[in-house]
Amino acid sequence: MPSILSLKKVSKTYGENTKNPTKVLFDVDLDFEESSFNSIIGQSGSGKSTLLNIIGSLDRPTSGDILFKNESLASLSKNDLAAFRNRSLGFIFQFHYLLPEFTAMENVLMPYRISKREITKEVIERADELLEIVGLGNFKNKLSTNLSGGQQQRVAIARSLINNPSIVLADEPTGNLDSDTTEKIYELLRDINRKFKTTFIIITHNRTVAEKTDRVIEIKDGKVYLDISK
Amino acid sequence: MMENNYIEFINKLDKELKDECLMFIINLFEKGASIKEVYDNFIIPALADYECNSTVEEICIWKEHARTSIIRTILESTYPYLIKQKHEKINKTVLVACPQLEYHEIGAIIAANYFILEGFDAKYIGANTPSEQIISAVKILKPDFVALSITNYYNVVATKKLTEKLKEQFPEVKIIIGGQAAKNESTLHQLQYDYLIQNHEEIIKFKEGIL
Repeated sequence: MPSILSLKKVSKTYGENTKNPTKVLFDVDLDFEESSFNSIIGQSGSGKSTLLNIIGSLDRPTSGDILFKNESLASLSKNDLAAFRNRSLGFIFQFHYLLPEFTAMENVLMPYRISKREITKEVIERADELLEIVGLGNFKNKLSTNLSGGQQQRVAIARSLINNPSIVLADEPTGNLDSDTTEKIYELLRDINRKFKTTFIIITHNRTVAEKTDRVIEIKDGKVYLDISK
Repeated sequence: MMENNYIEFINKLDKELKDECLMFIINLFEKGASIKEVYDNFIIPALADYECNSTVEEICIWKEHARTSIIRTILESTYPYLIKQKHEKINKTVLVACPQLEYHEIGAIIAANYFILEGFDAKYIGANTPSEQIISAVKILKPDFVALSITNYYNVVATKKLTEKLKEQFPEVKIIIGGQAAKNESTLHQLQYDYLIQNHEEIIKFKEGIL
């Protein structure tokens, strides 16, 4: 499979111009294949969340470059980077950040509302389809606060897919869910990976999730400590 | 002849006829079969070549577990024949273990038995052995070699840390790696180990190399 995302000697230092700069990533080289299903593991403070933020262009590296489909992101302006993020990436977090006063459907459509793009019939049909896929076809008009934790995370997953992203970045997507729900959410992510060929990069502490991914990358002290594939 | 025997054995195994499977193998030994013939021609292929005929994943999983359970019983029953057939002692000890959370232990048991057959003093200390316990066993038993069997690729995560600790604390002890997860070259180059051994022939070569 061709590469979809590459990190070239990515380093990150926080507080670079202060007395006590903290380097959290050291010359990280990584390559992700299209349609692959990857996990990133590592202890707290290892640098894995910083890495995911940089992969997701939510943060910029201090040095090094990120290539998306062989195109460098380093030269993109803030606005272009935001447009890239909106177009090509989907995000799932441990805490779903659904807006409580909106329904499941409205939350899924939120990326469109925020970017002030027209919500066409096609977009609504896609949101409908995504809510069906995540098993919430009958709950789309319910307020998010009336859904269970697992259901809310499913809405967040549908929301992450509304722009048909090439890559979904997930930071502890099952971190606050019980083991049965974790298993179901994992199966759902795997199904989406197979159905839409979406590349997944999942940060997880959960062994059950990590061992089922096709590749495990362990980050330790800001470096790639282990990188294994099935 | 051996091939016909294998088909007969597999047919019994597919039907989960435990008693018949066990007696079939015992009869082979009684007719003069060697440990190597039984392991390489029956036990190992029965596990390695397992194909599930069902499309239902759950059925495949329990059927595979049922097969493994029968094989485990057979394997334990081969031990008296192993005692009779084992070669002259070579005064080398091997500690065999599966790292923590590695529950697939049949390969490790076969490896331990093959080491014993070749005259090693081999001790198998179990599946899912926490790293501290493996380190404790190395400290007390002072083996020449530690053989780690890894099947599930995720267990490489714990194995890497374990091999680093072993190398740090016991640099004189050589590490042997084997198992399904050790078949991936990109995985292997990230582990600290001295020997890669996957079958009986490689144990023989390894033995020749250290004597």
